Amino acid sequence: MTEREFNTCVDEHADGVYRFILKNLQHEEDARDIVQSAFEKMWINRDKVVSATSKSYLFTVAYHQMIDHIRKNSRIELKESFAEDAKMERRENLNLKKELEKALQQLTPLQKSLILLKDYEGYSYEEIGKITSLNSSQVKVYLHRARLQLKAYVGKVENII
Amino acid sequence: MITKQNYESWFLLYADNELSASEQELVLNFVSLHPELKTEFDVIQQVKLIPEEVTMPNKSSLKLDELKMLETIYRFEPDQNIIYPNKQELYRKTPVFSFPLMGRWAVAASIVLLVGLFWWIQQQESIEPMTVKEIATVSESPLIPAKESVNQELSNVDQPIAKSLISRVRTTKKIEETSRSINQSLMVVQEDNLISDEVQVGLTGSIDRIQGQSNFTKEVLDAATDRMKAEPIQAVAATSSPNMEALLRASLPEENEGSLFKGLIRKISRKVLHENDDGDAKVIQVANFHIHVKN
Repeated sequence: MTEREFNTCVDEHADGVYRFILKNLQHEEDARDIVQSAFEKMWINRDKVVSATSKSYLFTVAYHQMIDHIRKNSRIELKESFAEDAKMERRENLNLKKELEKALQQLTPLQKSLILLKDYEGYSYEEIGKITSLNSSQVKVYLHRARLQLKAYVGKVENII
Repeated sequence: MITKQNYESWFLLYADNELSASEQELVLNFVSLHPELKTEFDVIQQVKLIPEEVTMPNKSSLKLDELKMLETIYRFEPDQNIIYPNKQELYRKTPVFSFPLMGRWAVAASIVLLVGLFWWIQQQESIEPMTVKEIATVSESPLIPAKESVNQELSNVDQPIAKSLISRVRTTKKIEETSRSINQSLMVVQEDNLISDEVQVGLTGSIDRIQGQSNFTKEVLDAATDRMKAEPIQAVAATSSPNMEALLRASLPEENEGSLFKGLIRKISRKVLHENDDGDAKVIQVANFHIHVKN
């Protein structure tokens, strides 16, 4: 990978990776740090990375760094989800998009990642499997379970409405 | 084939866009055939996140040229003129002999002990050999055996003079000097083939003192004195069995410097056998040798 290719990669994929991480973490600074270190890692391994695989390489690196980050900050994460629950108590009449965003935050980091990689990036089960170190049938099962959870959550909201 | 049992999975695959065009057609046909499942199908399709337009802030910072530019602009050249003032204090030196704190004390103690030991040996070696006259002084040593033990010993003696002298000597701490003196006397006697007046006076003086202090039987002592005068060589020589003479010689300070260690061993062994409290009578056992006496 040349310097030019690397810079092109930044233009094409930085936003996508950042969005993927930001949606997961809900924290801009942390998301930026992760994206930055993912790109640094790609530059270090530029001999092994070619432009065609650079996107999935970036997502893979960023995903694993994000999981590490979540593990390190699991206590804070827990507090945040409690706060989220508290907010749920006084649920308001929100539109479906916002409800979906909220529902997404109820999912585990893996479920969240699977949904985001599928819906945002349009990756196939196989590609998602490569990024998240799962096989495609595991991706399918986990992803369906996650989506049914979203459906259940949104269904409840609709009932309240 | 889509059935009422597995339709959910198909709906999900449809939402995930994992179906081929013909399979998608199958799903849509199934929904139209089962309008009661239409709502469920719609909900699953709705539970999809629509990609938001998210832009990474300051994205250009990721680019290499920017990073390189920053590196060149904000670059600090090392100042070679700054040197550490005292490198000596940073060097690590391995000492030639290094003892831990406890070890140092042990070494010091060992040295003191060794010096003390050699000084003591020197002190012991430097004591002048006694003259025959001094035998009398020796016999006045406070370490006098009880009357009974001396008497008993004397009564068993075949050669009373020499034996009584030896008994006396055994009671003293200064056996070495005494033995040496006796030995010297012996030498004189053997050389001149007669006992010198000095020896006789010394021996008689000793006997007198022994008698005075120990209540020796007069007869025994007189007989001994007579015999000594009559047959000085035989009287003494009879007591000087080869073993005894060897032992007496062994107790002499040796000229050889190398015998210092031997002397040390000897002294230690004497010390070990030094005192032996035997009831009321205090018997001092010095050195571990035996004198054979003919009955």
